[in-house]
Amino acid sequence: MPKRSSPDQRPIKIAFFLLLKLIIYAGFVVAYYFLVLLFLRDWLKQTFDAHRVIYASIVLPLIIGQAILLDAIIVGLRKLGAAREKK
Amino acid sequence: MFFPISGAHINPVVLAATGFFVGMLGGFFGVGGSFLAGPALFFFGVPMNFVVGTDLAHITGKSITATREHSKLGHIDFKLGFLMMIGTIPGVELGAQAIEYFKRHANVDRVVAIAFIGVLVSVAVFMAWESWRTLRLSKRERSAKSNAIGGQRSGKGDVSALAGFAKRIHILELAPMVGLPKSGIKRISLWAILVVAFIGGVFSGFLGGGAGYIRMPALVYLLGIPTHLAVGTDLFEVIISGGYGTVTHALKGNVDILIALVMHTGGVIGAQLGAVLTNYIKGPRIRLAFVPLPLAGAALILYTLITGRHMG
Repeated sequence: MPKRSSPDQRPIKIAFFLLLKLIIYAGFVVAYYFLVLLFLRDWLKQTFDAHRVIYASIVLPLIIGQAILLDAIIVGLRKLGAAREKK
Repeated sequence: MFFPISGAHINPVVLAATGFFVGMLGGFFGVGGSFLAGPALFFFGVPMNFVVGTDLAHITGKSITATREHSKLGHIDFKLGFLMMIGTIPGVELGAQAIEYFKRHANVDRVVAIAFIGVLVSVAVFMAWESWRTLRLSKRERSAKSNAIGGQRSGKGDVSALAGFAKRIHILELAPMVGLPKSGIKRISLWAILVVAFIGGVFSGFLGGGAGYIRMPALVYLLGIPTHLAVGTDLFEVIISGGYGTVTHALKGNVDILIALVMHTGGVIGAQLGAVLTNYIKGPRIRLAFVPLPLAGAALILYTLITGRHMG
């Protein structure tokens, strides 16, 4: 039968998993900053200055794509946390 | 860090932290969060036309996450959302054209900032007055069906002192009439929905963000949508107004997508947290808790406008 944590331990466990999720998420975000800000910055600036229509057509997919990607990461982390908590 | 598109210097960690805070409040109150995100960007030194366009892009991304959460909880009236699109899109375009006009003919920073302050203070004063009145109703009066929003009890203690006003709009016979069964509304004029959507769209295009600070109260008080459904449906509408607004403002050179992307990274976690919190707090209390936030945004703009100091 799986071990259940006592009521006193539960808030500590929840806080621990929340912290763990935030650390993993922060790692993803830092990597993402480097990817987007360093590699895309100059190209986006040039596109903004020279090809406004192309720029306008990529901004929406960029922000929606990021929303879906980060959402998937969060959901994945949440499932991971739930699975660990069950154990 | 330098953001070359808008020419602003902003610490990306501060930007992501702002996104988190705005995301949490936005998810909780069912608004995009532009009542704080816009003033914060202006305070960070972003020019007002970029504040408007960038905030629209940021809010669009954030609303996708929050809308998914509200959809799972059954807090979206999709029929209402799709009908509102017809009014929202022309409204956003009109707001965006107004920004272009002020860019050419006046000091866009000052005009938008003053309009922003006026709108935020008005919204806060109105919501404080209504929530205070509703909470002061005796328990007996609150349980009376005449004060229930949406014509039926929502099961979340959702009442409003202004529910009678929405009822007057429901009996307005201006064809075509539509029914919104999910919101508990048997018949309402389509024109009432379109006017609310159009006004929300204008604010969204002119001040940035999803204009939830206008649309959410209008859905509750004018159309009589229960607060928890108004929250979810408004977020769905923010995707439409924000998406269209992002593209039209990007074409006009008002979107710094790099700022939006960084701010959004923090907003993703915040939006999820905020959406879950709405399940634990009743309608009038959600509205009363909302009051200080537009005032804080207005104070931030006023400070930046008067002192001319930017954080960046």
